[in-house]
Parts: sequence; structure tokens; C-alpha cells
Amino acid sequence: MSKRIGRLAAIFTAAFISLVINLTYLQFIAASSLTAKPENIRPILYEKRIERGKIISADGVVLATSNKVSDGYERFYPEGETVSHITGFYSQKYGRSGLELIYDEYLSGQTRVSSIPDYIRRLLGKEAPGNDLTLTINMDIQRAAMKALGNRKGAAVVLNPKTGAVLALASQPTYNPNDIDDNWKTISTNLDGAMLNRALQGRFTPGSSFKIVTASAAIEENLVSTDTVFSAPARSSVYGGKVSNYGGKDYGKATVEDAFSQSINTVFAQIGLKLGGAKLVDYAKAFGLNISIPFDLPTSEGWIPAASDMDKLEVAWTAVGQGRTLVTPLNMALICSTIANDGKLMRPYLVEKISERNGNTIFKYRPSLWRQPISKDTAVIIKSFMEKTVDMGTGTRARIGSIRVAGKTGTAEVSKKEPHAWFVGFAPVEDPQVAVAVIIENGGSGGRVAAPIAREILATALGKNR
Amino acid sequence: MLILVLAIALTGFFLVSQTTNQELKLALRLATLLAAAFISLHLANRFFARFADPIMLPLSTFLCSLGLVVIWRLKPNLAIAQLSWILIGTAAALMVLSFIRRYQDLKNYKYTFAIAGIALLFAPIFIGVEHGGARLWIDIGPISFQPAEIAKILFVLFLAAYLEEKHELLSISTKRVYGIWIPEPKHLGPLIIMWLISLMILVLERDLGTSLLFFGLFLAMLYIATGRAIYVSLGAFLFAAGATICYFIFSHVQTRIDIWLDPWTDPSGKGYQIIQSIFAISSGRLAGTGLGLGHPTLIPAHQTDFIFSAVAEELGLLGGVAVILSYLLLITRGLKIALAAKDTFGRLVAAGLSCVFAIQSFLILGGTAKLIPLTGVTLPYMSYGGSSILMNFILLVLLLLISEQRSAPNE
Repeated sequence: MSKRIGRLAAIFTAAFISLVINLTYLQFIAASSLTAKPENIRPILYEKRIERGKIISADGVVLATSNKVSDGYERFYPEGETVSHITGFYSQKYGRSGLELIYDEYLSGQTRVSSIPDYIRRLLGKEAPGNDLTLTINMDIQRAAMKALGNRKGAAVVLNPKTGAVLALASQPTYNPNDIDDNWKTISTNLDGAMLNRALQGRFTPGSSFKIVTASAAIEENLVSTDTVFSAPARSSVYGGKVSNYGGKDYGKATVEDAFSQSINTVFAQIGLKLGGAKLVDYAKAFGLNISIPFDLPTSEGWIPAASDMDKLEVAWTAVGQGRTLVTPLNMALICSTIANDGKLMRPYLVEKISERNGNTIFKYRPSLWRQPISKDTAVIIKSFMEKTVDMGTGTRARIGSIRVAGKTGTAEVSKKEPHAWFVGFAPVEDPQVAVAVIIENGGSGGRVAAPIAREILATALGKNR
Repeated sequence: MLILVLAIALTGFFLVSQTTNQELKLALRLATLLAAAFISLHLANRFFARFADPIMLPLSTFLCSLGLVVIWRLKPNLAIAQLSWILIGTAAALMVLSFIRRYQDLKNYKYTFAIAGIALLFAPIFIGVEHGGARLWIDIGPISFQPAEIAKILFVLFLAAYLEEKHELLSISTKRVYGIWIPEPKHLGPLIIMWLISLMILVLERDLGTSLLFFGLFLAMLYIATGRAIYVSLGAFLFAAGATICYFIFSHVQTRIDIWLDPWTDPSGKGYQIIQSIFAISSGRLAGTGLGLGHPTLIPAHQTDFIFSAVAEELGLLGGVAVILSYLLLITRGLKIALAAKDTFGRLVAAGLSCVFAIQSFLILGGTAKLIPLTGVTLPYMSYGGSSILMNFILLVLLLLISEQRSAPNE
């Protein structure tokens, strides 16, 4: 009988060891794949328990915070739709976007156990809240930009040209990130693309605002100077096609400076041809097209066709800003701030610092040069062109009293619809503090529609609007 | 050892009160009562059964306390009820300890036990209440209890007494046919009866777990008593045949097996419980999420059948293995008591009780971790449930009594 009891003990031992093996399998080998199953709502529940970090503007306005509710924390956006294209949204049902997505690791504070006190804190359920993000966004400028765009489809990017700090990032239409769970369907299927961040991801024909690039290239290459004179007819034939001026205006003869401030297409077509496709494309790339811009939020790449893909007619039109070239408002803001910053293109950034709730800073951004497409001399010349444009050219509606404003309008012709209205500019000319790019989709003339918006934004940024 | 166990329990109470924002005072009161109960049981054990096994009581205290902590964490309002049952259990255990001086006396009541056992087993069919598709409970006033829990101990006592008388007969009077020992047909009677009883539980009470438990227990005891593998194989074959037929006839048995084979076909319906259970277990990883910090409440029946999933989630592999090994240790200690028992009856009772324990805990531990099909039985000492707690204490004390006589110096 003893032997039989022993055998029974062996059977039971084997059975229980198989339990241990099975448990090890579930908790180690299969654990990751089981956690990833869509039916498993635990990851979401764990996150809900942690107090997510705040997102705060440069001037101390809370843009995203977590409020305590019965079963954890709930995300709240006090500024709602004004900054939703920056903060993004955070939803248990629909995931996350914007900074909530890109900086998720920091905001959620999902780090590994680092010390014994940390482990004890975790056992007691007192996990440290996530890290806070402080942005470069200035809410006065952001609000002014959103308000100036109003209910028109469009975008505005405001930069500090000296550092690359993004002071405002506006895109209309927008959505309220607090309503994501309730109105997902309406928001996500909005025909005008409420969730599209036009400022970073909308790609548009640049129109005449691109003449900054053409002029910079031609002057940097010493092909023209400020007072080189070109013929400036209403239209001219180029290799089997035509280049014509906006509004069909005939200027007779014009200097490069006048051609810039009056935005004369027939002159820029000649400059473009003189420069040649290859050089034009090289400079466009140097200014940040055809390359992914390093940034804190997803951006679309600006695009210019390869020189080998363009005939001379297309080179001429590309130099004018028409053709197949596409840019984002961020591209144009960077091009503009390069001129403002004496040819130095600073890497744009949005997150100034990341800090723990106890104030300990774990990351601090230091401005850095991204590229330098042109020399300071060239930049100074283009600056004067741009100032003249606002003083007495196409951009007079951007004038702000005694402040010296520089800018360039753009009216980008698109098929069958009203043109896109562009304005890029900076101020004050003698010591640029703010650079801006504004676009109103199918808004009409850049000088009439976009310039006043840029004016509002610049004035606010320079404290002239309070 | 007992003090160590109680310290662990106290830590558990403290952690839960911190993580679930419950009153620490209440936790201390629960812990104090629990400690008082076990310390008095321990002292009584020292007094009445001085030579009894020294490991089993602290082990079951550990499992019981852990169970109580986890229940408090899962369903705070059930903790007091569970604690009352633990107190009643320890009181009953004390009574058994002080009244039954010689367990051999129990032999005299074997047919009473048999009849009472069968009556209890089948009572739910007539006056029972259905919970979760199985008719296993009887409601008496506010208390609902599972008579099968009591029946299993009675069964062990009866079988041990019966087999002690008959084991020689059963093992000797066999014919040899083609080199295989074939028992006389008349001796197959009990086997057939037991088989029928098990199948009846399966069919009428729709409870695969209890059915398996009783039949497995019977086969194990028969094997120990007679040493005839033929009984075991014949019995296993019969049960398998019966179960297979049930699989095709009864949808609930079929559902159970199908869910086990592939729960993902209906993850939000039939497979929900087992899927939530393995999600819970897998999220525990090595050290668990910490008490009160996981989400085991997502599993239906988390405080009863699925309490182990909660332990595995919040205490991780370490906690889970500790629990599994504690059960294994209890079982092997039980079998050791059986080995050392002075008489066949004691030996069979100890082995039988150990088997009850082993089969039941294996069924539910394996079931919650999807190692075997899920059968709804409680996890001894840990699951919430009055009759389960009460009877497991009595089971423990019986084992202690048997071990006491083994090691007591000859009078």
C-alpha cells in the first residue's frame, strides 16, 4: 500500500509541476501576445490609473491636464479647439494623436522600476504622475492666429526666426479634443478635414511666395543684383508656352527689386531660366523642400520636381511659384525665417522642456542650426526686397504703424477654384522677433486676404494689439 | 512559522488598504480576528494533538489568510462573511479536535455516512438552486451552501471503512484471463454504482467538476486499497465513455470543452470568462501588479472559482507558484500522514482526504489557467464560500488527528 501511495504522490507532484510550467508559460512566453490582444482592455485601464503629465504653453496656460474621476483620471483640454492640432487628443476608444501620441512615453511616465523606494511606491499604488511638457507656444499669438483665420480653411505658422521656436501653430477648421469620444464620427469624417493639421501636413502650391527662393538663389549665385533690369511684359512666350502676370498687367521694364515687390511673373520666369532647373531645385532643397523636417509633430515633406523632370517652360513657372511644386505652411515659415535670421535656418521646435511633477527638469531644448542655404549678404538683400513689398508693393496690408515689416505675398493659382492666398513675413526688420506664414485655402489674392491676417498675428506677437 | 504566515497576511492587508483606499482600521480588525482564530486553533492543536503534523496548519493558515486578503481586495463586503466562515471553520475544527479522540470510532458510522453523503449529493437536484448553469446549492435562509462539499468528506470516511473490510477480497479474488487480472463480476458492483453516481451528478446537476472529483477520488482510493490497476483502467474507461456520450448529448458539457479548445471563437460571450482569466494571469508577469493594482474584477466569479487568477495577476508568478507549491506541500504531507498511519482505515482516510484536496485544487488551478477544461469547483481555503471553508477545516483536522496517533508514543 505504501508503494501505491508513493506512486499517487508522484502523479500529483507531476500534475502540480505542470501547473507551474503552464503558469510560467502564460506569464512569460505568452504574456506579450496576450497583452496585445484587442480584447484585453488592461493596458487602457492601467493607463487610466496614472495621472498623465500636463501640457503647458510658454506663457503658463494649461493646454492639457488630467482630472481625477472615480475610476482614475480623465484627460481635459481647457483650451479646447484652439490648440487641438498641437496637443492632439487622448482617447481610450480612439487612441491618441499630436503631442499626446509623440510624447506618450513621457506624458504617461511609463518607465521601469528604478529603485527600491520606487518599487515600494508602486506597491502602494502611489505611482508618480507622468512628466509635464512645456511648449514654445504663446497662447496670445495662438489665439490671435486662430481667430484671424476664423472660419476660413487655412493655416498659420509663427516662429521665432532666431531660435526656431514655434510661437503658434494654427489650422482651421479644428475640433474639440474633449469631444472625441462623443463626436468621433462627425469629427473624423469632416469633409474639410478638421483633424488635418494644415500647418504641418497641408501641401499647397506656393505661388509668388516662392519667389523668395528664386531671388535668393539668383543673388547668391551672382546672376542678378538688386537693380538688374529685365523686360516685364504682361505675358511672354517661353519654349512653346506662356508666362503671364497676375491680373495681366504690363510693367514695361523692371528691376529685380521691383519685380519682387510687385511680384512680376514675366521677370521671374527669366530669372528662373537664367538660374536653370538644377540650381533652382538645389536651393529649394537647401531651404527645406524634399526633406523631412525634424520636428516634434508629424510633418509632410515639401516637394519640388527633379530638374531632369522639368522642361524649360516648367522651370520658368516653377521659378514663379506655380507648377508642380508643393509646400507646407511650415516650409514657407522656415524659408521666411531664414531670411529674417540672416540666412541661418534654425531647426523648428515645439517642446521647450520636459519636467517631472516635482519640478525636476529632464529635458531642455537648446536651439540649433538646421542648415544655411544662403549667405548673410544675400539674406540682407532679400530682406530689403521684402520690406519694400510691404511698404509699397503687393503686401501693403501687412503694415503695422511705425514697425518695419517685411513680407511677400503669394496668390497660388489652382485649377478651377479660387487661388490660395499666401503671405509670409517677419518683423521688426532691424531685429526680427517673429516670422509668420499664412495661407487661406482658395481664399483669393494673397495681398488682400492673407496679408491682413499676418498683420494681426505680427501685431499681437509684438505687443501692438493689446 | 505561524507567526511568519500571519505577518505576511498583515502586510497583505496593509497593501490592500493602501491601494484600494479602504480603512486600515477594518483591515486590522480583520487581521486580528484571523490571527486569534488561527492562534487558538494552533494552541488547541498543540494541546489535543501534540504530535500532529507541524506544517499543515501554518500552510492552510497561509492559504486562508491570502484568500481572505484577496477577497477583501476584490469584494470588500464579502470579507466579513468569509472571515465569519473561517471563524466557524476553526470552531468546528476545535470541536472535532476535542470530541474525536479516536478517529477509528468513525468507522462505526460508515453506512450513515454513505446514506447521508448520497442524500446530500442529490439533494440539490430536488431542492437546489441553480448558479451559473449548475445545480449545486441549497438555500437555507440567507445561507446557501454546497452539500457536495460535505458529501466528499463523508464519502472518504465511508469508502475508507468499506475498503478496509473488503480490500483483500477485492484484490485477491480475481481470475487470470490471458495474463490479465479480471475481478469477479460481483465485486464490480461498487465500481458500477460509483460510476452511475458520478454520471448522475454530471447529468442531473450539470457539474463536471464534482463528478470528476468523486470518481477520481473513488478510483484513487480503490487503487490504493487493492493495487489493482485493472479497476482504475476499467473505471477510467467507463467514465471516459460516459463523459464522451455526455459530450455529444448535453450542450453544456460540449460548450465547456469547445471553449477550452478554442475560446477565441466567442471572446465576448462563452469564452469571456476563461479569456479574462488568462489575460489576468498573463498581466502578472514575474512579480505581479501588486495587491489591489491589477484588474482581476474583470473576470466573472473572481472571488470564488477564479481567485487564483487574481493572485496570479496581482502577485505574479512568484505568488502563483507559492500558492501552487503550498497546495502540493499540503497534499504530500497528507499522503505522508497516510504512509505513517497505524491502521488501514487511517491510511485510507488520510490518502482519500489528500486526494480530494489534490484533485479539487488541480481541477480549478488547471482550469483557470486553461491547462484543462474549466470545471467549476472551489479552490480549497482560498475561494469565497462557506461550506468550502468549513469542510476544508474539518478535512484538515481529520488529517491532523490521524497524524497525531501515528507519531504519538505508544501508550
